[in-house]
Amino acid sequence: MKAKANEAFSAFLDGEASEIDVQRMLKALDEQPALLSQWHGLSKAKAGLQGEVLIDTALTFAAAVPAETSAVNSTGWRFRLQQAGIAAAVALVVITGARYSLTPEPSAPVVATVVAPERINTALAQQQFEAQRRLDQYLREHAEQASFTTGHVVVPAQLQWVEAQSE
Amino acid sequence: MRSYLYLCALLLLGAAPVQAMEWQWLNAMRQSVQETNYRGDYIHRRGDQTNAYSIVHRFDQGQAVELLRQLDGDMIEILRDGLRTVCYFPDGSEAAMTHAVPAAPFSQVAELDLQRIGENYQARASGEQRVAGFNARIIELKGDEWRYSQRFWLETESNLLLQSELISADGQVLEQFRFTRLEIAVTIEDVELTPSLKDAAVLQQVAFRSPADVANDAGYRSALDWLPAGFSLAHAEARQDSTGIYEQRTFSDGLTSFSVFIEGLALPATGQSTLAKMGATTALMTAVNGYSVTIIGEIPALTAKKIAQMLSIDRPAL
Amino acid sequence: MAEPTDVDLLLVLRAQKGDSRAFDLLVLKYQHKLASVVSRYISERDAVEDVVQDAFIKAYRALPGFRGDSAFFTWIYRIATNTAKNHLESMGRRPSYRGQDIDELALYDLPEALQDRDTPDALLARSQLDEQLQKALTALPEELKVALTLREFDGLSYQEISEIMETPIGTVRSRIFRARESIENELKVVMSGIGRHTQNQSARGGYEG
Repeated sequence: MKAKANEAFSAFLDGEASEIDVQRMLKALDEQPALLSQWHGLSKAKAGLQGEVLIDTALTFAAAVPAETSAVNSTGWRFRLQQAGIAAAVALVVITGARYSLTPEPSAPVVATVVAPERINTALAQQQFEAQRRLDQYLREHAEQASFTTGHVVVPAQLQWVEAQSE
Repeated sequence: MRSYLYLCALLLLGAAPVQAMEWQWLNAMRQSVQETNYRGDYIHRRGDQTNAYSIVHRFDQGQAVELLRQLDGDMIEILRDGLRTVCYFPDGSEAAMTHAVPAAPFSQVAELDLQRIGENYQARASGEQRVAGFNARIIELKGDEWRYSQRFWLETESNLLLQSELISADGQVLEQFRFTRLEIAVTIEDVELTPSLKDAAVLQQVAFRSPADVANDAGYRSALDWLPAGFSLAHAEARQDSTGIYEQRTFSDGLTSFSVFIEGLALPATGQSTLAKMGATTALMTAVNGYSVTIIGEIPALTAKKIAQMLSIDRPAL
Repeated sequence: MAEPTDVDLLLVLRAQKGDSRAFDLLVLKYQHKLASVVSRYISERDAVEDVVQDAFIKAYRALPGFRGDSAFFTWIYRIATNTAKNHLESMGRRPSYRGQDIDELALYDLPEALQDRDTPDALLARSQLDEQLQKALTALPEELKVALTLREFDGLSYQEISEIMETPIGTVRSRIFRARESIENELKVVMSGIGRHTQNQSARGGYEG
């Protein structure tokens, strides 16, 4: 019944929907795609009263999503590292990056080592992960001390270091 | 107030170099950050990353109370009341207990050493601009090649810091702090200073900020044989345990800081080093005599490299 | 009392299995909230819509990786803020004030270039909307108005409202829906001007609108 589905949606907006409501809503949408537009209006009615910024994304969303289905391609760097039980994959890429030598060695150029996923050695990755964690910890300590005299030291929510070229 | 106006006139006329007394505008800025009532949103951009915060600040009978809310990432809330800081972490926030505590620029600075800043930097006024709906004067500070330049946008009436930047030698803006929405000199209600996570928070962290002790690194196994001009020791701490030594020092030239960490852990390959950046913060990790050495600070890489090169550990006593 | 179902998670699970309608429901629920968040970073209305849409697309693609460790909204909130920040960066590495390179602005007093949402038109539109909302709310039959007010402005649950109004929860639910429907009808004209697309121009085929 359309009325029940409408009420279900209204309750859904309030976080008061049940499993049955979900079934009702999905079934109704399947049978009557036009409902999306009506429910969009309801969402605006609620959001308007809440003072939110009103937009029409729901109406254009389906067209914007490419036809491919949700078959996931979980390959790659991050996935393999998660398999190895190591988090913060992005940070790890960085720390294996640019290397340079402090002592003047004309034959040792700056080498950007891109570690290919297949060659990840768990022990090495673990070491690097710890080095990264230490670095993050140092940053926090530095920020704490520096804040006594310096204006700009604020540690962001997610620490993301970037490889640096020698200046 | 009058000396500030006089100073501004001096700056605008391009008078240089300035005496310590004439750096009072910096103090006025710092004071304003702490003693003005305001509320707003600001962004902090570091290189490619931007974080947004909302802040409510009230100064009442000599005491500052401030609620800072991180609008992205872990969305923590920080309530500062005098020397007491309480952090509220929402349910499910990652690594909450090791989270650093953000702060608005200059809000935690007790006092600026104007004498030293005046010795290490030159100031110059570079125009006016509007930020978040307010008029601001731009003041640029430039030092030698071992440190970054800074720019401050100060609101013309209250001296409140509306925007600030750290700039590299080639003019790149490495870091930016900027208000996007702001109201100054408003009445702040108690409810605005009440964290929304107060009852719902999973974790809380309470810290009391104690005034910095006089720094002393006598007896440390490591020594820095070179420091960029104008930097002196601001903080030092050391300990020793089963993993080896740990020595930490922070240096400051009055406006800029860097820290050096020495640990008794050897890196896989001595002599190989890594250089990384986040906004204006440079991190250099290397090994000296088998100890791990890390230098972190808002300084150019060449400065960090030179410090590391001129650093010695376990040098026999002379 | 039984644990309330995590409906968001239910919908995510269905979407992961290929049910795009399920994801549509999540978009309907959170689109405006995300728009408000993104507006803190970006002032241009069109850009806000683009970023929110982008965020939903990213979320849709990343669905397989969503494990339910956090709430769906927390997850997409982060995606949205990251997308907003990326958008800011893509507008150039040098920070610009209102689109102009800072160096060029040195000695001039800039005229205040108002943000999109602060233009007289936008402000007027918003306050008109608020006014219309107020009017529509006031015009509601008493029991509909009370139910909606208790929900939207006092944040009470349906259970609490049913206790206060001494009616079954089903009635509460129905009243809130009818109140919203009524407001929506009153405001069709005003509100369709706020969003970028009118209800007649929805992109999905087969739509009556």
